[in-house]
Formats: sequence, C-alpha cells, structure tokens
Amino acid sequence: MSAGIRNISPDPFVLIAGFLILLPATIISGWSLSILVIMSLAISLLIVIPLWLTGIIDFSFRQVFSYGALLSSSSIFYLYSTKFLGMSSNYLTTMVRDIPCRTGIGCEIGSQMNLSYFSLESLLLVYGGFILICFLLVQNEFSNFYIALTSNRYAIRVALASLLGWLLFWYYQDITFTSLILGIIFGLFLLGISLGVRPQWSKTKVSPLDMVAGVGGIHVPVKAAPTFSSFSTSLFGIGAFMLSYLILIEADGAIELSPGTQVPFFFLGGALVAGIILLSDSITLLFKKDIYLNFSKDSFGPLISILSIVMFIGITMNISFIPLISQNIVEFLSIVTMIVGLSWSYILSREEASPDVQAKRTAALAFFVMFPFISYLLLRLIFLQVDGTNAVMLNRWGLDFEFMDKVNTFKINPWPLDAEPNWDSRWVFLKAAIINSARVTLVSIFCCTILGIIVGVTRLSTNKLASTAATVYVEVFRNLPLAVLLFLIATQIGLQFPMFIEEKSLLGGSIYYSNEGIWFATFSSYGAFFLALIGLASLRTILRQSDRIEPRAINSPNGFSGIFSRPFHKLGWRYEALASDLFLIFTLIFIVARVAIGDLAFSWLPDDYFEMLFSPVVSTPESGNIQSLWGNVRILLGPIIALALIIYAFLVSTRIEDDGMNSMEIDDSEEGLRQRFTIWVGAIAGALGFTLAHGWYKMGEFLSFPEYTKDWNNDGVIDAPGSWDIVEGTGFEITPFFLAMLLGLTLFTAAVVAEIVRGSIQSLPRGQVEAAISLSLNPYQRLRLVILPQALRSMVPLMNNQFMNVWKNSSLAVVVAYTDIFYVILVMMNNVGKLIPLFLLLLVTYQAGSLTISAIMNWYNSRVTSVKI
Amino acid sequence: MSGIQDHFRFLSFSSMVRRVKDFSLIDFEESVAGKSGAGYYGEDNNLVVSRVTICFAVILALFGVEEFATPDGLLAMIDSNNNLLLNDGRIVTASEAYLYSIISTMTLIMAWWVTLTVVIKQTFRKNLTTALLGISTAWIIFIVTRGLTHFVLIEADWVVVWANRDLVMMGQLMKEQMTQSPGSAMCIDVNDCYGINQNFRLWWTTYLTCGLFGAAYGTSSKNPVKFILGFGVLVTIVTLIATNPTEVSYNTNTVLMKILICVAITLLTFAASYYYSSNSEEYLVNRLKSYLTMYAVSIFFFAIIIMDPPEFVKTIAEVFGGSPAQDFSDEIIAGTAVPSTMDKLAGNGIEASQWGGLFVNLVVATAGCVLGFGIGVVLAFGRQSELPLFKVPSVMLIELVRSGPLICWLYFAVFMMPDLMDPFYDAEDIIRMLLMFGIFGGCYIAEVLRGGLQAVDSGQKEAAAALGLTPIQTKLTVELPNAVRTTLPSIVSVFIGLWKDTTLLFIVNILDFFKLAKDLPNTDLRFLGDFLEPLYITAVVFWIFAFYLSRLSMGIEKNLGLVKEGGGEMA
Repeated sequence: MSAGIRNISPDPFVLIAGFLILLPATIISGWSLSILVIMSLAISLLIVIPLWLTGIIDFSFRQVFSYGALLSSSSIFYLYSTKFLGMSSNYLTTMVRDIPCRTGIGCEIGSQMNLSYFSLESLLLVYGGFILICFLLVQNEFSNFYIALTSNRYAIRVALASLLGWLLFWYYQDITFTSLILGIIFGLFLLGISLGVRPQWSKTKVSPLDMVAGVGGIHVPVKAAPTFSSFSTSLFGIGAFMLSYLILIEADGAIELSPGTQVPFFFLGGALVAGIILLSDSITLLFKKDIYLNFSKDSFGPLISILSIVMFIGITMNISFIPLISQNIVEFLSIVTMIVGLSWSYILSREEASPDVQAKRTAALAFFVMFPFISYLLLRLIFLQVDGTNAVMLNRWGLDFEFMDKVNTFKINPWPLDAEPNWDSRWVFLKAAIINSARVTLVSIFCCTILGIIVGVTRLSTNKLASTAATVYVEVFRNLPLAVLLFLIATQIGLQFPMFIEEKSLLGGSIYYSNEGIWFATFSSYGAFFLALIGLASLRTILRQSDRIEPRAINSPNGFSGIFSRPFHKLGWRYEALASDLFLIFTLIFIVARVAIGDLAFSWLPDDYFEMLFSPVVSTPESGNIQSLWGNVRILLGPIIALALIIYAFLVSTRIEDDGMNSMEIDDSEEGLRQRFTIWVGAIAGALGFTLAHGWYKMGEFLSFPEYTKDWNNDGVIDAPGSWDIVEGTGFEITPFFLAMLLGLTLFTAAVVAEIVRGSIQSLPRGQVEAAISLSLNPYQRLRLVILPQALRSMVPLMNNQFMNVWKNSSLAVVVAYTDIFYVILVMMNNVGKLIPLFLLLLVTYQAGSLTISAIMNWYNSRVTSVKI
Repeated sequence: MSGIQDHFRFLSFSSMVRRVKDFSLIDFEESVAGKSGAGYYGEDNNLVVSRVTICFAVILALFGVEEFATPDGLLAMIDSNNNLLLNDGRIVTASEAYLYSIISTMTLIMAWWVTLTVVIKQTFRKNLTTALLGISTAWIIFIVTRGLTHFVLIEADWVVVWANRDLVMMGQLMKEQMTQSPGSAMCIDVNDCYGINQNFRLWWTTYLTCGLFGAAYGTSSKNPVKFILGFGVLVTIVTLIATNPTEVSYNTNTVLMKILICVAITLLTFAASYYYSSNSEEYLVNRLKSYLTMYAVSIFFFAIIIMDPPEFVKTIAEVFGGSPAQDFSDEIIAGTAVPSTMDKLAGNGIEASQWGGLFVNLVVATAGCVLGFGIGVVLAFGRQSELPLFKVPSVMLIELVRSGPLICWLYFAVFMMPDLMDPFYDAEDIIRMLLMFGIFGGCYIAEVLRGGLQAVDSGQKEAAAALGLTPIQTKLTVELPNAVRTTLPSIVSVFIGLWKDTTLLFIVNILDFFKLAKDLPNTDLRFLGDFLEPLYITAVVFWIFAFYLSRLSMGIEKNLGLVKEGGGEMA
C-alpha cells in the first residue's frame, strides 16, 4: 500500500456510504432501530476486515464501533427527524385548521368547530417567534447590538421615537398582548435599521441613564462602536419574521396558506432556511456588488442563501403542484436537512474559517440536530394547552388559576391562620401551607444550627468519649435517607407515646402528652404577651439611647442607595439610631398587630380590612370565599410587603451599625452591671406580671391550661373515650406531625452542620488557637472570641446550602402527613386535576423560599466577611 | 517473602500487644473524665482510688434497682427479661435476655464509672466542660444502647424480616416466580407450582457486578490480604443472611451455589487484575481503569436490557436454540419439561412495572449516576459555553430543576411527563424514574463540575490549543479529566444523595425497598403491628451502602492527594 492512501481517512467515505446505501435500505425496508444498529455493526465489520487485511488500518473494536456509528448516523437521524417533524407537522395541521360553523345545526353560526383551534397568527407569534429566538441565539449579536444602541445618540432618538410610535399604533389598533410583543419586535427592527441608515458613528458612548438626560449632549469618549454588519444578520431575521407576519396576517386574505401542506412546510421549511442562512453566514455579503461581479469562493454563501430563500418561497406558494414534496413534506425536509448538515460538517472539519465563524456554524449545526425534538416539544405544549378534544388533558395543562379562587374542600392544620374548609379559597390554604412549611423550616434551621455547632465542637473536644460519640452521631445520621428517618420517627412517636385516653400529664396538668400531640399551658392572651414584648423592646431602645455617645466620625450617605439605606440620617447621630430602632419595633408590630393588639385595641373596627392591613402575615380575611382579584392580591401582597418592610428595617439598623453611627459607652463597672441587672429583672417581672394579670382579668386564670374534657354535654356522665379531647383554644398544641418533622430535619441536618463546623474550625491556622491560649483565654472564650468568628467566614456559604436543603427537604412532610406546601398542593392536584398550574405554583414557591434564604445568608455572609483578614 | 509479610503486618499481634502494654488506666480516665482536681490525691494513691471507683461502678451496675433511683442493674434486668412472654406470643429466650443485659450493663458500668470518677476525683474543679461532657455522653450512650439493645433483642420479632428477605431484595413478581417455580422449597408439591424461575436475570447482573468489583479492587489495592479479609467478612454475612433457615421460602442450596460462583468470579477477577496492575506500567493500569469504567456503565444498560429484553434479544436467543418458555409453561409447571436459560431468554422478561425491591433502588441510583454524569457533563459545558444557544437552555434547565425538591420532579415524571412523552415513547413509570433521576442528578453534577471546570488551569487549555486539539477534544480530553479529578469527592457525595433519595420512590408508588419494607406488616396476619423491624432494617441497609460510598470517596480523596492540611484544634 502506498503511503498516500494511508494518509486519507476513510471516515468521510464511510459516512457517505451510510447516507447513500444504508439510508435508502432503511427507508425501503422500514427497519427498526435495533435492526439498524445490528446491520450497521455487521457492515462496519465487513469494511474493517478488508481494510485491516490490506494493512490500511489496525484492527480494533473501537474502529468497528466508530464505523458502525458513522454508517448508521444518517439513518438514525432520518428516523429521528421524520418521527418528530412528522408529529410537529400533524400538530400544526390540526391546530391551524379553521372550521367555522356554517350550517347552524348543533352549533352557533360562525363559532369554531375545530376543538383544538389555535390561530395562524398566534402560532406565527409563538412558534415562529421561537424559531426567531433560536436564530438570534445562534447568531449571538446581542452585545454588538447593545453597544451600537448605546453609541449613537442620533440613532437612539430616531429609534426610540419610532418604537414609541409603533407601540402607540398597536395600542390604539388592538390592545392585546400580541400587539405589544409585535410592537416591540418591530420597534427593535426599526431601531436596528435606523442605526444602519446613519452609519456616522460618533466616538461617544452614552449609558442608558445618560440617555434619559442626554438631551444636553454629554460626550463620553469611548472606543469605536461595532459596525452595522456585525448585527445585520439578526436584523435580517427580525425583518423576515415581521414581513411574513405582515403578509400572512395583516394583508387580510392576500395569501392564505392551506393547513394541510403549506402551513407545515412554511414553518418547518422556514426553520430549515434559517439554519441554512446561519450556516452560510453570508447576509453581510448579500448587498456587496463585488460578490456577484467577480465570482469567487466567497460568492457561494450569498448565492446559497438567496437560492434557498427563493426556493422556499416558491415551493411554499406552489406546493400543491409538486405532489412529491406535498405528500412527503417531512421526508423531504429531513433529507434536505441531512444533505445540508453533512456537507457543512465536512466544511467545518476542514477548519478554514475563523474560530468565531466555526463556533457559530457549530451552533447552527446543533440547532439542526436539536430542532425536530424541540419543535415537537413546543408544539406538543401548545397543543396540550388548546386541545379541546381531550377534556382531562386540557384541564391538566390549561394555564388558568381561576380554580384557586374557589373554596377548598379539605382540612389542614392552619395555625396561626384560621382557614376553614368549604369556606376559604385555595389561595388562603396555600398561604397557610406556606406558613406551615416556613414554620417547620425555620424552627429546624434554628435547632439544627445549635445542635450542629454543639456536636461539631464536641467532635474536636479532648474528651475521647464525647468526641467518639459525636463522630458516631454524625456518621449515623449523615448516611441515613431522610424519608426513612422521618418515617421511623413518626412510627416511634406513634408507638412509644401513650394513647390519648391514658391522660399522661406533667406538672399538674400543664403539659399533656400523647401520640396525638403535646399540649402546653400557654398565655391566655397573646395580645398581652406581645404587648409585653414590645414594652421590653422599647425599654431596650431607651437604654441604648441613654448609652449612646457621639461617634468618632460622622458618615453622611450619598447617592440614592446610600440615602435609601439610611433614611433617617437627617436626624443627626443621636436620633438616627433611635429612629431606626423604633422603625424596627414598628415593623414587628405591623407583622403581628392583630394578634398583638388586635383584641385589645382594634376590636371596635367595623370591618376586617384595616386589620388585614395591620396583620398581613398571620390573618385571613373573614369574608371567606374571595372571588375578586383584589382579595387575592391582598392575601399574597400583604405578607410580601410586611416581609419586605421587616427586611428593610433590619437593613437600616445594621447599616447604621456598620457605618459606625451607633457608638455606645456601656458602664460595665460592678455598680453599672448591678443597676442594669436590676432594671432588666424588674422589667421582665413586670412584663410577665402584665401578661399573667391580663390573663387573669380576661379569662379568669393566669395561664391557659389545656383543658382535658371527657364530658362534652356537661350531664355528669363521662362520654365514650373516643370523644375525649382537649378543648379548642386552651393550651398550646404541638402536633405529632410537626414534632416528627422537626426531629427528623433537625437530627439529619445537624449531622451535616456538625461536619461543616468541624471542617471550618479545623481549617483555621493553628497559631490562632495557640495565641488565644497564650492570652490565657479559657476554652469557652477561645471558642466565642477567636475561633467561631473566624470559622464563620467559611461556614456561612456552606450553611446557606444546608438551610436551602432544609427548606427543600421540608417537602418530605408528606411522609409524616404534615400539611406543608407539597402536601396541600398534592391534595389539590387530586381534587381539581389542574396539575400544571399547581406544579408551577409549587416550583415558584420553593424557588422563592430558596432565593429568600440565599439572599439572607448572602447578606449575612457579606457582613461576616466585611472585615478583611 | 518480605512482601507477603508486609501484607500481613496490619494483622500482627505485636502492635496490639504494644497497645495493651501502653494502656494506662489513669490516662484513659483523664481522657474521658478530665484531670483530677482534688488536692488530696497524690501519685501514690491515684491508681488505688481509680480502682476503687471502678469497683463502686461495677457494684452499682450489677445490683442497681430502679426503686433506689439507680437504673436497673444486671441482676434486675436478667430477672425481668428471662422467659418473658411478649404481647405477640414470643417468649424471650435466655440467651437473648443475657446478651441484652450484659451489653447494657457494660455501658451502665461505664456511665457510673465516669460519673463516680468526676465526683470522687473532683475533675470538675479542673475542667468543668470536659467533666460535664464526659458524664452526659456516658449517660446518653447508656440510654441509647439500652433502648436499642432492648428493642433488637427483646421487643422486636424479626420473623417478619426473615420471611420477606427475598421480597425486599427483588420485588413481588420475582419472588413469586422464584418461590413458585418447580424445584423451589415452597412448592414441594408440584401441583402447587405455577411460576417460571426468572432469577437468572438478576444473577447474571450480579455476576458481572462481582467481576467489576473484584477487578476494580485489583487495580487499586495495595494489600490483597486486606481485600480478601474484608470480602470474606462480607460474603460470610451475606451467606449467613441468605441461608438462615428461619421462614425461608426458597431453596437455600441453590442460592449458596450462586454465591459461591460470585465469590469465585470476584476472586478470579481480583487476582487477574491485581497481577496485571502490579506487573504493568502505570499508563496500562490507568487504561484498564478506564475500561472498567466503561464496563461499569455497560453493566447498567445490560441489567435493564436483560430484565425486560427487547425483541431482538429474544430473536437472538431463538437463533441460539431457545424456544420461548412461556409457550410451554404448562409442561414446565407440570414438571415434564425443564426450561433452559436460552428458553427463558427467548420468552418474555419482567416488565419494568413489575420490578421491585433493592434492585429498583440500585438501578435507579445507578441511572442517576450514569445518565446523570452524562447529562451533567453536557450541561456543565453548555453552561460554560460562550454560545448563547448552548448557554441559555443549560442555565434554564439547571436552575429549573434545582428550584424544586426531588419529589416534585418525581411527581412530574409520573403524572405530567407522560403527556409530553407518550406520543413518541410510551415508557413505564420506572423508566421515567430512571430518566428523572438522570436529569436531576445531572443538574447537580453540572453545578459541581462547573466549579471544577472553572478551576482548570488556563495553561492546560493553552497547551491543548498549542497541540492543535479541536475544541471538543480539548474539552473531553483535557478540561473534563482535570475537572473530574478535583471534584470527584463532591460528585460522589451527589451520588450518595441520589442513593438516599431513591427511598422517595415510594411516594409515587414504585415498589422499591422502602415501600416494600414499609408494607411488610401487611403481608401476613402474624406480622400485624411489626412496623419498626422492617424500618430499622431499611435504615441499616441504606446506611451501609451510603457509608461504604462515603468511605470510598474519602479513599479516593486521599489517593488523589486532595486532602488539605488543617491545623486548628479545640480544647
């Protein structure tokens, strides 16, 4: 064998052989996938053995497999493409077919008889828009466009005006979502064109903010802007989209596409042409005379583009004259796709173009390969939304949330709300469920952090027994599946705790415990309790105010964000911190106002609207089943505003602290400490006394004890044991489900937290601890003052992950029948069958929770790491 | 010869003897209860006081009774538990009672000892934290041990687990076909038999896995004796569990034979690969390792295909002389014909909806790893890509999937995915679970890999470019191996998470190990109310796998030299 033959790779020939021989064989004999694979492997063996015997290649199974893959690739692509494009084309035909009622028999004249009708206009917007987005994504000229947009002030004025005009035009013509989107797309197009029409790029860059105020003409020198040709292809795509929209929809009836053949060909073929244009990457050359006059290699691209567009339009218009295509649209498109793809992958493999163009073409090829499947997926989604022939499916996929306004029919544990089944809407129940999830998550996070820190520190302790036990704890719980753990705990609680009728109680009836829950004695009026708490908080504010001294340097905020985060800075150092403290107290009142002072102060209010305003998180509207939009907005908006307010209040007070505006001189002499101690003991005693006294005044007893009742009708005869119960409203109940969730989440997460704590502490430099020892700090001081503050820096990001895990793991509550979000949504899914809207709500809720946790932890992290070491 | 002696060194008694010799009671005492704080002990009387303390502790632990506010000692415990008749009619045997009493007494002695030492030697005056930690830990250990041993040895009735061990391993249908086929222990009377034994499908997968196991240890093992000992212990435990005669519903001899085959395969592959690895260059060993990885992936697909073979496998089996077993099932049940393996292979397999038990968990978790790793690599590179066509969908998919907990997605896979998938692939629930675990795991692995990809030294990429590698070659042969190397521990911890999450399959009514174990009390009236025993077994089984994986990850971490040196220590 000559060396020349050795240097030629047989791969392309194998590929072409697969296309020319195996593909026709597959089409004619209708092979299934498995037969195809076996056949191609057999053929590749037949190819490899002679090549091996003649010494061109070395024999290896890898070679056989790779040849087999090359041989079968075109057939596999053909099977895949025809399958998915075929289904896409079916959906297109089914949905677009417009069958108005003409007879008036059994239908209203003019009404739509096609149960799964989706107008061509909407289809063009959604499906065509999707193809356009893919086109723009592949072309990837957003940044060029943006830079150009912000570079030329003249063009911006023209473009903004045209955009505005266009929006207004659409607005007056037809106020729909469609018109808005179209207006924006068209505005973008005009914008781009206007940039191209006036190509005298000024050497200035104008930021969006300056654009608003830029009438004055502020010149900021920047580097040269990108040329028009760097985003003209994208504009071409947008223009083609707009043009087809105008021709097909706006020019009423000028061209009507037949749903059977023209519509599928128009969409699927349009995607193909878009792909070809992307691959040839020659739109920028299209308008250059030289290309056509001096015919060279560069001329192929524009010619191919023009040819494909012309052919596409021609075939679309006259498809009924070409039965070979009109009866086999999908097969035709698949084969054309394959020919284009094969030839371009050959060109790509020669690596002649610049890396940018190579990458763009690779993306375009990927678009070719992915398109059939993604097109199917999108059309299937649209079809599921509109298909009236399958009522169950339509109900499952239809994206409307009206059912959430209807009353909910099952009971959950809604504390602290009172969501009544068959009375309150599903939104209220969702809110109650979110509170349930948040409650168990927050308490678990609190407990697992403490337990985790204890265990983690114990693992490092010199006490061998304790450190071994901590290690065992960590290894046991870290490697247990949470679902099993929760189930185990729930079962244990059910079996180990006494039955309810056994009346097990502690401390003279102030705590009842059974496998149906734990009841504590509690304050009889939460209002008084919260009022007392507010009193204590006010006392602390007063004490802080009296200790406050002038800071060393007065920091004045500047800029919008500075003023936003220190709104009280005008008050001066003495009153700014006071105001922020009071603001914090006010927001706390705002959140719990109805519980706190509702029954004391606001009870005279005629309607519940005012109360809703003042206790948005923990109250429900009393009007029950709310059907109005305002009612729903109020239910969800209230908590959001309240939470935003409290976060803002915290931010304000920490910002003041960070800026050093909250200097204090604390008298820590013995006398001062004694004085402080006296004040606090007195205040706490007073607050407690107030709470208890209020209970006595209102209820006749200091505390609300759980009241175990066996005789419900007061006839002196004990009822049957099944009816024994704790009177509602007495005592504070912890349900066994909550207990199981709390224990499970805490034990499980604490093991991980312990590992994080241990890792963070161990990664500290040894010198830190040694320095602390040499300063004769005791172990507790070493931990609190030296080790933990530094370990926190590496702990917080990891803890953030764990806290988000706790939030997500709280969805396992369904294992122990605790009514969290997932549980409630699951039952609603079973009741209503609106799977997709409910699923979306579920995802949005969990994502919102994760983002909240992450935001809080990131903020905390930035505070922890604000001091650089 | 010295090499072989080296292998046995860890077994040598001299180190143990040295440890015993070096053992000092005082040091041990100080390490659990703290240093003595009382001034009246000197060097001379310290040891005496320690011994007296131990004596006191032993006395308290032997003779304690609850009436005197000391926990029940050994004598009281034996007295109350021996020949005790439990609610479910089980009589506690003497050996169980003794074992329970002795174990809990030992922890009680320790608890008393620590407490008395702290009090008598006044260690709390020197170091209060250590003393308190010692006392509280000792008593917690005592309470937990006593509770657990009491449950395991006295309260629990393990018959429910023994009777169903085959069920939780392979699911209802497999168990039925195995136990009800001619020749099994359950249907000695041929008239009662109705099944065709399909267990060879699972055994084949097991053999292949054993081969992988042995070969993988052979490539990386430094000490064959250690492996063989560990493996021996494992095999012994498995054999003991499998052949325990309590309520056994299958022919233990057959199972024993198959276990022996497994052992033989494992040892042979281990020996072969150990020999090859210790006599070959490193690059050859690495190549062997990469082949083994491919082999592991193919086992996964093999397991799925062999359980429910597609038509062409049946056709091949027919070509090799099998005739579908279902066609002459009457003869098989009557005992007149014995189907060969080829016959069974040519017949129908086990539909995915009938899979169950630990097999499902293993297959789904493996899918999470295998498919997940593939999807994860694609998504990670997609997210890294500068082309928005790849970047935007990758980011969207990753963030979408990570936004919800796994059970949401399992629900999606069961109730919503069919609407999207059915027109082109009418898959069964379990197959969709495999896909969903793959996608879910993939998104998490993508995030892990992304970190690794970002950390790849830019010099590596430049070197690859200088060598003229194409972008795809650079990604697959330079960036990916580098990224995987640094993130392997995190990837393994994602795998552990996926393994633990397979227990969630019960929520969507797939008969996995947990679901079957949870429902075991319902299998027979005798087992009514025995909820806890199967649950504890489930916990132990899942724990063992997860723990093994985590040790494996630590080993890998050490081998790759990724362990960072840390300094800080706490007092």
